[in-house]
Order: sequence, then structure tokens, then C-alpha cells
Amino acid sequence: MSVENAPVVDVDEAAIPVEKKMYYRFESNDKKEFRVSELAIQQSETLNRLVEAMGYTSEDVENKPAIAIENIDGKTLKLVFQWCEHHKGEAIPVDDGSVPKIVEIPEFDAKLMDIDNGLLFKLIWAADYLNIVQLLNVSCKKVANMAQGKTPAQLRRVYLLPSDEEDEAAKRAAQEAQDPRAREVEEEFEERKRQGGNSFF
Amino acid sequence: MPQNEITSDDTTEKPLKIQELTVNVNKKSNSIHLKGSGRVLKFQSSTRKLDPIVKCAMEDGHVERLRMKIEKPNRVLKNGLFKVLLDEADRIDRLHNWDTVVFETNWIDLPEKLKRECIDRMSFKTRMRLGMTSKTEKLIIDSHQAKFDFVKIDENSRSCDETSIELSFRLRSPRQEFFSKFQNSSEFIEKGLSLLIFLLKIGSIRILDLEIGDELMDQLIGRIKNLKLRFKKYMNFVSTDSRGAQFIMENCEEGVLEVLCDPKDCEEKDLETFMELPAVYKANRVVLWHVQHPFAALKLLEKWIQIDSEYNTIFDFEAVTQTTVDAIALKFGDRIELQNEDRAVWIRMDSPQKLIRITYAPFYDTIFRCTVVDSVRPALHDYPAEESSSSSSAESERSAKYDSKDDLDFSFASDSTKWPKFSRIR
Repeated sequence: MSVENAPVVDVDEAAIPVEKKMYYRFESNDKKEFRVSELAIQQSETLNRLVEAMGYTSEDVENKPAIAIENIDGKTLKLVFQWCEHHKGEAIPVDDGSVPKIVEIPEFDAKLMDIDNGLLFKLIWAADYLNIVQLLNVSCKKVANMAQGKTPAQLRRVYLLPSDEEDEAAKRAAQEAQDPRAREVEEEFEERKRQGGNSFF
Repeated sequence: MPQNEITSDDTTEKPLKIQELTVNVNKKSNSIHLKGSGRVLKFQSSTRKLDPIVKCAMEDGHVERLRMKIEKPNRVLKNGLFKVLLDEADRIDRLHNWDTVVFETNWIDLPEKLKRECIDRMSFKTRMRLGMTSKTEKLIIDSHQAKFDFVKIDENSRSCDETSIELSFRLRSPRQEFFSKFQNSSEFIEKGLSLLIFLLKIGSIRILDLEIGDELMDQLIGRIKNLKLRFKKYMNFVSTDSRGAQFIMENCEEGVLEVLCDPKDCEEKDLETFMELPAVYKANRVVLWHVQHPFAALKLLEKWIQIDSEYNTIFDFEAVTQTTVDAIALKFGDRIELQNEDRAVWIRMDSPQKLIRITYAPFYDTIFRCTVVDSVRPALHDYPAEESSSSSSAESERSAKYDSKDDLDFSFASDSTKWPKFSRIR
């Protein structure tokens, strides 16, 4: 039968059941609220498990308070959820160590991560905490790229690394700042050790 | 300049009465707000210049409340402020102030696990440079395992018309290859040996190819005494004394798949000791060139029988044909299950399902191939085509597991279609 001769069937579109998308509500530690689709949440193993365990219905999602993510601030969480929404439905890479880690940063991700260092490192923390494998991949790659071709001195500036001298000074300062009572106890302990005592008590 | 602002040069100000000291160290504001005094201390971009100002303000002033927001990590400043805080403990609610401290997240704030994730994606040179920034980073880089497709040192490399020593390696991820050439062994010892040792220290290496003579090998051994090496395949055809190979095989982690070397100048006892090393007899494939003492080399087959080696475990060695055949007869006389008058011997293992098949070519000096095979399959050798197909599937399985296409070609020995037919001699 040709295409032209095929019978035409009228379809009542309203009669087709449309699966309603569920949007979960999350709250950052600075009380900013985000609505995230169910599919986007699947990118995060931690959040996916959490919402599965909660077993919320569509009504629950609307009526119950937003799920609090206490370790992450609003600015970072916004980036995380933007990333998840853009990459929703994509396969989550499995790292079993057998395949070399060749990471290409897609254009969207590159734009998303065009942020200051502080926020980028927070994004890495968040990606790790929420177990978003691919976001961790690209954000770590971005940090690695920042170091590409830099001398040790330039690296110190890029990553704000203290030099050994600064580290030493910090240690000394920390020792000096030690609680005087703890210092007294320590000194007494050292004194007793010098005197050959076996026990402190 | 506005009247309520002072620069860092004004640190010799008179004692201040401060109700609240807000330290807000970031790129935009660069300021210290002294509440109560109505003053804002402006400092220059270098955070180091901040320390004396704060110290001065904290020591001379009466601080009732301290709020700190330090976006740039500055431990000296942080610790200095805490010291003052502790000294002023009577008048300051320590816990309250502790809560108000917010630090910027940066590289040094990342946990080691995340640092390593980033390092995994850095090029080799970047890793090395990062290790040079501070002791902390060096500790991480020195203990961060890296996967290498190969690490090769070749004593007989060429540089124009002269021989040179070439050190090359390929990082697996990101995939990068490096070459360094050294004019002679003294230059290599001076400039390249420490890099090689570093690679051996951090590397999980697929192919470790040490094509160096006994002299350099001794130098290397002297420097890696307490190192546990990680590799899948070991090659060295230049050093003909077994000491180097023995040391390497004694000091490697389990799971070596292939061992290829040349024990030409090796004493019989040393060769026997070498064959008895677990890393050697547990390897899937062992290849030895110029075996002067076949009786000692056959010790490997005894070990195979002891540990019941897996099917398709292979031992190839080059030796004088007649001496070796005699040695096989002498060593395994009571175990010879099947014998083919035309260069093939089957040795019974303790497991009834397994045999060791030994094949060799009709020359004075030839390569012997010993393989652990299924005891049922020798009968199939009457039908070369069938054997060939079943053998090829097993071989392809092996090669899929561990690609060794760059190895020596022993195809003539394994080509069953060229084998003459045999008869059972029970």
C-alpha cells in the first residue's frame, strides 16, 4: 500500500496522556531555592538516591519544604543545576580505570565555568559532594588547563599557593597562637619526659 | 583621599578604640573597617602589607568584636589574628567569632582526593612544575601514581651519526610522549637517572623496556633498592647478565604478564634462581634469548607443574637443539606423554586436563616454544585445520587481554599446519 493511499486517522491529542514532569525544589545554605527537573537530578548520584529514598509525589514536591543542601551556597548550586539541566538524559561515564581520561570541555561547560577561581573550586567541591561524575571531570580538567604551560612561580599566583617560607611562617605563627593552657601541659609533659618519668600521671 | 580613609603607611597611628574590627580582604575592597572609630584602613594590593596594620590595630586597640572575611588565603594573617584573639579571650566570645570566618576556596583548600583528580588531568610537565611550588604539593606529586604505556631507556639509540642514550616514556592520560637524549652514560647518570627513578617510583607501567648494559643497570639497581616496581611487561636484551633482571623481578608487584630478556652470560645457578622467582614463573609469557644452560631454563616448566599454570602460558627460549632435547628427556623423562619424532614433545602436568607442549624448529640452534595446552586437544593435531582454528580463538583471547603485537614473531613455531603428524607412545 502506498503512502498516499494509507487511511487517515484523526487523533484527539487531548486524549493522549502526557507524562507530567516533576520538578524538585532544593535550597542552598544561603536559603536560595531552585527547581530542578527529575531527569536533571539523575546526573547527581547523591541527589538521585536522596529523592528516590524520599519517594515524593508531585503534590509532596509542591507542598513540602524544599530539600536543603547545607554544604553548598546558592551561587555554586545555581551553576551545578544549570549544568545538570543542560546535560540531562546524557549517559553517566563509568570510570573503571581501563580507559584513558581524555576530557574535552564542551562549549556550554566552558562558558559555564568562565568564573573566578574561588567559585570554580567550590564547583569542584560541589560536583564531588553531589557525585556528578562528568561535572567533576570537566571542572578538574579546567583547573588542570589553568596550570598548562605555567612556571612554578606562575602556578603559585594562579592557585594562590603559599611558598615554603610562608608555610613555615604560618606554622610558627600557629605554634605561637597555641592555647597557653595546652602549651603549659605540653611543656610540663616535655619536662617530665626529660626527667625520665614513665608516666605523665 | 576621603578623610575617613588612611593608607597602609599610616600604621603608626595612635592607639585605637575599636568596637568592631571587620577585616574584609578581597580584590575589590582591600579594606579594614574599624567600627566605632569610623575609620577605614586602606591597604595596598599585596596582602603581606596587611599584617602589620592588623597587628597594630589589634594590639593597640580594644577590640570588642571581630568579624573576618578573608577571601585570599593568608595563613600568616589568619594565625596572627587568632593569636590576638586568644590573648584577648576574656573580652571576646571566641566561638562566635570563629563562626564568622569565611575563607575563599582555592587549590590549597581542596582535599587531597580532589587535588589528585585535577593532577590526573595535567600534563607530565605541569605535574612536575606543580611539585616545584611547595613541599606540600611535592609530597602529593611524588606519591601520585601515573600510568605509562611504556618507559624505555635505550643505550644503543642514535643521535645523527653517534650512539646516544635515549630515555622515552608515554603517559597514558593525557596521552603524551617524551624523549630525552644523553650523549653518554655519565651524562645520563648525571641528568637522566633521577628522572628514570622517579618514573619507576610513581609509574604503573605497561611495558618497562630497560635496554641498558650491566654497568648502567648496576647504577640503577644501586638507586632503587627499596622501590616496589609496577609493570606488566619487562624487556631487556642488552644486559646479558641476569643480576639486573633478577633484581627487577624480585622487586616488582604481582601481576607481571611478560618477561623478555637475554641471559647469555648468565651462570647456570643464577639462571635457575631467576626461573624460580614467582614473578617469572607466574608470568603469562617468558622469552629468553641465548640460553646457554637449557637444563636450568627448564626449571620454569617444573614450576608450571607445581603451580598448575593456566592454559596458553608460554615460554620461548633460544638454545642448542640437541642439548635441550636431551635436557627435556633427562628432566621430564617420566612425564613425557606424547612424543613426535619430528620436533614436538608433550609433557604431562599433575592436572590430568593439562599438558605442556614443546615445539622447536629443525636447526642446530633454535627457538623452543613451551605452551600449557588442554590434554584433550593434542589428538586434534592430526587435524591441523581444526587445531588451527581453535588455537586462533585462544590466541585472540590472549591478545585481547594483553596486546603484544610489537613482540618477537614466533609464528613459525606456533603454526600447527607445519607440524608433522605424531603417534602416541604410551
